[in-house]
Amino acid sequence: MRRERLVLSAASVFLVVALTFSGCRSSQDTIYSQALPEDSPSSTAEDSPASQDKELSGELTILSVYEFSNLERIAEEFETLHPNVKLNVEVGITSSADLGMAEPWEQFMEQLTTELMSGEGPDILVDPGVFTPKQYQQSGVAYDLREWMDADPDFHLEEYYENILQAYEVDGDQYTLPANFWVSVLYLNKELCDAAGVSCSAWDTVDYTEILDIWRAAENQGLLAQDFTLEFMDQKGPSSLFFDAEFPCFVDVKAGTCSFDSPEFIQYLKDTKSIPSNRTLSQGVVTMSGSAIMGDFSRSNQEENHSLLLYDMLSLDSLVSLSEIPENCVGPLILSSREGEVSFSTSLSFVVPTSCSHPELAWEFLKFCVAPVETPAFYSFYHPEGSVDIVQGGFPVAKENLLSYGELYGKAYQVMGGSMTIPDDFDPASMDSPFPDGFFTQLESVVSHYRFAIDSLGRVGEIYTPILQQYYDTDTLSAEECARQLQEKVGIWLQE
Amino acid sequence: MRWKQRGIYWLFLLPSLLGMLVFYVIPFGYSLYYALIDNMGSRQFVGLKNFAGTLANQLFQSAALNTTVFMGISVPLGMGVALLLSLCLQRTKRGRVPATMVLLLPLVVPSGTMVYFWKVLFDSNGLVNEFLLRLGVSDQWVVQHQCHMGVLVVIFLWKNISYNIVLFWSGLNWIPKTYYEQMALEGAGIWRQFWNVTWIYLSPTTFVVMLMSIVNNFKVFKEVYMLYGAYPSADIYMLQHYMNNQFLSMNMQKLCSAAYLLFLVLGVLLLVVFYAQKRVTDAYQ
Repeated sequence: MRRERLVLSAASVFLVVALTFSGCRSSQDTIYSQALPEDSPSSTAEDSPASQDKELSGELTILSVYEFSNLERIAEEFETLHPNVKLNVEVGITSSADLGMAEPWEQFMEQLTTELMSGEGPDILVDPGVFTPKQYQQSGVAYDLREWMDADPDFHLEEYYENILQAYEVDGDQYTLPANFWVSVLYLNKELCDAAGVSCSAWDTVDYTEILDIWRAAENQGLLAQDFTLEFMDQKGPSSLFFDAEFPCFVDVKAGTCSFDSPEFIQYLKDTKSIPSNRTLSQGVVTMSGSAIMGDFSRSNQEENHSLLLYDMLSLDSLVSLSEIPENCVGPLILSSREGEVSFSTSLSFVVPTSCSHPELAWEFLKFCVAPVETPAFYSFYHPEGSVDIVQGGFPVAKENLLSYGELYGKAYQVMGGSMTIPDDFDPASMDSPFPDGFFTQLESVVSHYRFAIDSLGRVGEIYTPILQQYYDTDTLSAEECARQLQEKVGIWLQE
Repeated sequence: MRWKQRGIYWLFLLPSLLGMLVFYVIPFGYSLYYALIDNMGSRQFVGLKNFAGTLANQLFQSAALNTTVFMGISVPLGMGVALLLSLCLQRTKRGRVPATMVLLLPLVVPSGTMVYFWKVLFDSNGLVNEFLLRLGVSDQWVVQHQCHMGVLVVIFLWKNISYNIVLFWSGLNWIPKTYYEQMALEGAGIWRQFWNVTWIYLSPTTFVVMLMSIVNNFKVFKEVYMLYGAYPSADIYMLQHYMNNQFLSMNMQKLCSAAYLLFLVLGVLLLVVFYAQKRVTDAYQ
């Protein structure tokens, strides 16, 4: 009996030890060596000699957390350039009705988390910000792309908006590579700015306190119409409009601290709630853009001042309208935090999980999506052979692409008017630029100097939105209680 | 012959042993490996660093304290109320069947339905707050004085008390009636009968109920999660929240080290309960 016990005990210990230590060998080095071969392929697949010399092959699965129809087109373009490559695009939340719905979302997230941790995730993940860079770093489930960037002789970091890439950096590591980005811009009512003695130039940064000062001065002078509301058409509401911008002031993700219980934040809550607005947080956001809406904003404020600002997302689509800013409007101004940080969003940001079966191929695809292109395309409307549309209206992360895509988008809008069709004989090369000389140089310089702060911080939005709703929408929380709850819950999230 | 008999026992035990091995023992052993490495990428052995980090984590300490407080309140309360109700049921002559059905109802009600019910009552815009507001209490006061831990205890009692009643009731039915008759003849009152007969003969059942209550204490998380989400207020942030959120943050190392620490503490606690049960049972025998 004692012998049996001894044998059983020894077998159990052996089993546990064997299982425990069987995977202890570091696999990272092996994977990096796969991803970074000595003859690393070049940046732009279509025109690079290296990629022409070495034909890419293999199959990758790209998982996009949300539906992003253009991803399939980009994948097809890459497949056309590399016939031996097969890219399977999968979508996590396929139905727009499921967005924000607790059950499908949580089921998907649980599945994705399990797959990533068990090494069975996709080859490339298009993450709109469901995981933070710090989470990728701590878990070790994604490759540090900075190592790939540094080791690739054809990838030159200075060709990209490094300030955008830096927003994703954590301790010098780069787990997320955005392909495009959008920045919030504002146009202000010039009469109200003048009345408040505020003078702004295009591309200046402006924070919520300055906007509040303008509103207060105008109100004191009796310049506001009876039905005055902060935003034209009430697109976002004061909570949604300013919170993303101010968030970095009160949360230090790298240090794991927050200061929502500070007098400054309580004052912020009181200030922003006092602004007249007809949109609540629960009603969501109305997106409007273009010169037509700017004209409407201008006209609405000609007789009486019905609103102070027009909100827009700066994108390639709206660049043409910058040359048609009405006289009674000031802008574009960049909405920033009080500390000067500018938040941005992206529709296409890539992560390469360590489960990737072909890291080298994945890196080539990522470079294809971000690197300078020879021939840009304009959505599906204008797509000559060999051209690619990797920006989808957003600002490209490669500086050179800002000029090439920006010019094309401007010319396309010029010929389209309001029809949304491009004539068959559309030839951008033969057209004059709709932009003044030096426009893109100035824009590139301006964008390069902003201090960007990432606005997607994983699931933290799920924590603060209900609390803010209780404060702004249902009015069941005082500013102090709202601040206390935010401090408590976001503090938990940061400390975990 | 003995070997043959033993072989048959093992043969019958084999399917469940295999199931235990594949679904519990091996994953549990493997999770120790995750608790001893730095992350899922480089997989460098770091010894007990993750355990030390978890123990030093203020949030883990706070979650452990909340879990202990919750257990300290809900387990004795759940046992006491269940014992009281089962004694009442035993002594009830009329209406025992409907009363039993009502008391056992929570066992068959799905969690989702139950949580919806509690949400209607205890949500920030729920009936309880509505009632307090109608009484003239200010909404700020209501928000500031929400007793989340109290709500949790009520949910635990609602969910687990039926199970405890079933166990206690079956234990009570095993006590021979003659013991009570004998005590009554000797002039003992109800209280003395309870201490000298019911309590002594119910002690093995009491330990089982205690054991199950401790285990069930950790099973109330589903309802709490559905009610308050992954980030509840700090006073009801439990170890299960900590571990669940570590999973969603893909931090397998913190998750596994916390799970092992919980396992160790729970294991010691259950051993103490077993040991106490043996001591008490031996003393009465």
